[in-house]
Amino acid sequence: MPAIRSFGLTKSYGERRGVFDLDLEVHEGEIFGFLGPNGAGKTVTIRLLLDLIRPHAGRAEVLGLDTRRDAVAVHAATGYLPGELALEPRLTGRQLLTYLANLRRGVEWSFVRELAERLELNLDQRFGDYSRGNKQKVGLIQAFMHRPRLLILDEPTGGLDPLHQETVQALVREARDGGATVFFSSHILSEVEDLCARVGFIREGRLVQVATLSDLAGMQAYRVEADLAEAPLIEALAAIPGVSDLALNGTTFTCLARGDMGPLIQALASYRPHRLVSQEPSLSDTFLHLYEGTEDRPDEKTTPELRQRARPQECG
Amino acid sequence: MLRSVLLATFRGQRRAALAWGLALALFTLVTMWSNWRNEYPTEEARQRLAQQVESGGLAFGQVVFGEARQVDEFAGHLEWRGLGLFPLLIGLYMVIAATGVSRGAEERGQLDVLVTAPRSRSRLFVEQAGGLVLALAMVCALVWLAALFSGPVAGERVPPAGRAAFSVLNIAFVAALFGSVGLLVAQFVGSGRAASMTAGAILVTSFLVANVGLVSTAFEPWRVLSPFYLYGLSTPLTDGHVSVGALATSASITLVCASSAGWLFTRRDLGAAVRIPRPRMLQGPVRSTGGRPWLLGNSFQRALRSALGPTIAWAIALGVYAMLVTIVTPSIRAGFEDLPETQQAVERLEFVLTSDSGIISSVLFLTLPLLVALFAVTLASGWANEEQSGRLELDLSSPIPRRRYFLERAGAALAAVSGVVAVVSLAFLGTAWLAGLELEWSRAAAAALLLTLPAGIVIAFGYLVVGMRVRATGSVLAVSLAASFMLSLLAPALDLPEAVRKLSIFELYARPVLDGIRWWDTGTMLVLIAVFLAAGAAAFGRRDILK
Repeated sequence: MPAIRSFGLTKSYGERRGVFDLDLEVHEGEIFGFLGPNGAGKTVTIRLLLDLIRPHAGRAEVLGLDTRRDAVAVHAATGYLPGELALEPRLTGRQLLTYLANLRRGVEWSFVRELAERLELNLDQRFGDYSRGNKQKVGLIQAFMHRPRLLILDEPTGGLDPLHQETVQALVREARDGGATVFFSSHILSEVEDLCARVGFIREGRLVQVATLSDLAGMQAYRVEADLAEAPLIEALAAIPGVSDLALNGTTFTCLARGDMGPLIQALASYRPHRLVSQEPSLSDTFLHLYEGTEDRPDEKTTPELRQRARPQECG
Repeated sequence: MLRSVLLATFRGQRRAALAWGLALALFTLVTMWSNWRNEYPTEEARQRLAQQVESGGLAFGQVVFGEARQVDEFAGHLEWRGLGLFPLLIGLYMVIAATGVSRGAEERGQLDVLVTAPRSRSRLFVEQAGGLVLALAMVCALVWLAALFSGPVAGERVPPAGRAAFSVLNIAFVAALFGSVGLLVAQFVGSGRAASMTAGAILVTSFLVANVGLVSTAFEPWRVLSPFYLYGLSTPLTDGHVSVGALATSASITLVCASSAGWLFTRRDLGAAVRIPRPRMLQGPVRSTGGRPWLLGNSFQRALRSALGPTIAWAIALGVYAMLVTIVTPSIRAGFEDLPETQQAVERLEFVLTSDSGIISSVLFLTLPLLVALFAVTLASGWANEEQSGRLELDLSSPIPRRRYFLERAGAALAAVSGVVAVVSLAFLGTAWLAGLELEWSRAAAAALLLTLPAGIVIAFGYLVVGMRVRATGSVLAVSLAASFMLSLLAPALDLPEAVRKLSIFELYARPVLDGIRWWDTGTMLVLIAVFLAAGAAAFGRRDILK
């Protein structure tokens, strides 16, 4: 049974705002990264899954439960960290967690204390007096404290120092090892690479890609850089299938190459290369290329290949 | 409008200033039309009113509208009944605006970026204060226009524009003074709401001290301490008198408060309050900053806990108000005993001022339902802020059905109102007993306890709006309540049919001190509360949560 499954989920706030026809499947027990630029629809998706907002079309299931009809049961099984945590500033961390634990019932306070110790949080300070990172720790504790079957974390390490980012990553792994599913959105790509088995990319409210990390790397263009004995004929190299973004600086040639690299290497060999480097693509490259052409990156244009790839695909 | 902090501050205030200005202008026009043209339409009726003032029979009117002078002339009547309440109301606007612009903005984190802009903190403060002055000018300009138009509306000539301008300027000086008090209080108090409540309490106390002093010798010596006393020294519309000394004193206090606030703002930590050192003997043992986790068991308790501070403040303020009016009741009755013609005129408006129970009903229980309902408005409209700031996000992702959460919150608001009503009831009944008023005690107690019902309708209606369109809650409630009160106030003069009158919650509440409990109307109010809450819960269960 998938932990999260949506069927044509749609929530529209205008032409390109909201979530459109979202078909998503997150497997039970996996850590799923949900990536997208600002305003892409990540938070809308999360709020739809938690029944905080209602879809205009489609539906979703969480742990086999309908998110609308069985909202209370979904909430009972879910731990949620919102992207922008807002809580009563006059209450202390302890008071806030007591209140939220009382709403949930069945929270072991010893586990709350353990989480606070691991995150080095003083619970007796007022929420309004906490630093941004400490506020985030309160949010994290309340998301983890009832040992939920599903964790939905929106930017979980935002505001935390590297040491505590590692602690959060450890908590996420422990939750996964304990059988929980983790669905989290993040902009910290190294974190996603470290933690996630699969990632989903959302752009302008549409799911453009769901893939394992290894799949993504295979689809991504390699950056090729070559120092040549003489300047090559650019038009000839541009005609090679899979080669794009060509640039020549003196006798240093760079390009992106997808698919079979044989023809490119044969062509470059005729210009007697002194140095030839091919860089493996990072998730960051994938991320940036998938968002080419969006409002966040107005200088770049979507390549035909990416447009092709941007079509919604079956979850891999 | 976003070229400077001054204009941006004004821009942030422009809608509220326009709404306040228009509402107050409408109040002036309707009051002068109904009061001057309908209530006192003849020279004879107006002279009777003046005689009544001279004999001390308009005690409550003077407590509410200030000192009455030359009320048989249009200009004097306008300055008293048409504008007399405005130093308090515009002062209240300035308190809310000033604490919102300073501490409120700081609390929301809006000043974090502004203070890092390449301009000094003192300049930022001065520009914010300037923006508030522009907003005040907008409100006052609308009131000035209303004062001018009130002449033709009431069948009189247009009052002299210059005198009207000075009269409004006199109001503006007092309002600005309380705006500066708001700015100063905001330096010492850590939250916007607490700052506005503290400054608001100072405003209301000053108002009561000055105006109760007009009718009670016990308070008379204290009047000079109140800024409203300075306001009363100038009567530009009535007789052209402008006390330059009073205006200068008012302006000086404003400058001292505002510059002290600015000085403190430039020196203290952003987001922190100025700490007042306590003498060592008053210092208690060192405590953990965390309080005991009481009243956090569920969303009902949590909402009750949040409302505790305002509930205590409102209970004290309204309790004191009930005690004051109860204390002056014998003097009001004595003032009317020798004026049978005035009694008849007032009785046409369904007021009874010849007995203790009549005065308590016509004065105290005319205003208390409105005041308790205003408290209910603040409780219901607080939801919008909470929801828009995202504070409900975690509550609503907890395993609690939405409708139950909604009803628990509404229940907490009803409990808070009941708490205020209980305190007011004790204050009123205790004072009335000590003062030896002749009341039918079961009816008096019923009148006090039934105050819960109109306020309960306001809460239930407010929660219905929350369930449907949360952003509109504050404005819909304010307009509905004002319309309901105006309908109740004007119904006798306009001789409106019973069915129309019953649209007002204040007409449903009616006069329990005189007439006892009207079970049909009481049942109607209970049914309305239940229906509004049920409809609100159903609507809330269906709508999106804002963020």
